Amino acid sequence: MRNFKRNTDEAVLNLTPIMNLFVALIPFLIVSSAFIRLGGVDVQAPSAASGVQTPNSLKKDSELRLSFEVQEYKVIVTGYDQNYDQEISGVKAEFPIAELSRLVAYVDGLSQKQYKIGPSLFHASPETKFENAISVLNAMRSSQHVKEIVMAAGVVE
Amino acid sequence: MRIARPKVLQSQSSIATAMTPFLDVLTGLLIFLIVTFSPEEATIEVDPKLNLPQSSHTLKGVPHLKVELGQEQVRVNGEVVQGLQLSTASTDTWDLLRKILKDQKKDENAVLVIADKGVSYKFVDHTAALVAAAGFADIYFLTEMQFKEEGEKK
Repeated sequence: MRNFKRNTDEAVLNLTPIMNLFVALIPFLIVSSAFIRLGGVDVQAPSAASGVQTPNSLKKDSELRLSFEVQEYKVIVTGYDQNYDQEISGVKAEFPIAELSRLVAYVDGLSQKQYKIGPSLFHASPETKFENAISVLNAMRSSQHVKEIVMAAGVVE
Repeated sequence: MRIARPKVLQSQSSIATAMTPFLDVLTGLLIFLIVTFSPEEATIEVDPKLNLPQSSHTLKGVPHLKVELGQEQVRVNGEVVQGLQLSTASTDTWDLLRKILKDQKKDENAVLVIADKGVSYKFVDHTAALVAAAGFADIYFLTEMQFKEEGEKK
């Protein structure tokens, strides 16, 4: 019986070190963590030289260039050749800002029609709200086939 | 004495048992906090008055140069660009931002643009043009993370 009691004494764990660790780590992590998770959308800046220029990566002949023109409440997607000189017939569509999932499906559908999509051009009209522009950029990024987005910005003197 | 000793043992045992759920909670909390901890994101200081737009993509990285477009003021790395008010901005006042951007070190090719979701796109467009003119190749727009709902992708 005495031996049994001695064993019970030894089984009690010393939790002090681990509690010290928790008490130090948890406040640190709570204070330093951002509870609003931040995300982001990345685009390539327009070329520093002004005028109609396309990035160097737009030189392969077989790629379809898509232009996403954001207006106040809609997006117009147009297909162009590699120099943005000629529209590709049959590759033009409009989508309301509220139905951007259709835009993603459309772009993915183009890829299934044997089109290889190259870098895409993004432009928004001045009256567009930034929120809507980001929604369109987010939809473009959601498509597996839009690899690069080049931003077409206004010309600064 | 012989009667008192078992009582002490019993109370020690009950204290140890009560710690278990507490430690479970703490362990769970600790794991959650470690997994969600992002030291890079924690370095981004956003003006609490700014309402960020939402997107479902993560930031590729956090560039050192941050340009903040509020409803009125423009900040570069937290410092207000004096004299530049968005509502009354002209070529001369935008020049103030252009000079600041040109003076920045080009260690990185990217700029983080933090803009309020209500800002007119023309200001973002102008900022992007100045960023490009200053020699930066990439622009990251900061957003709030919007978690995808199931089936949304289709």
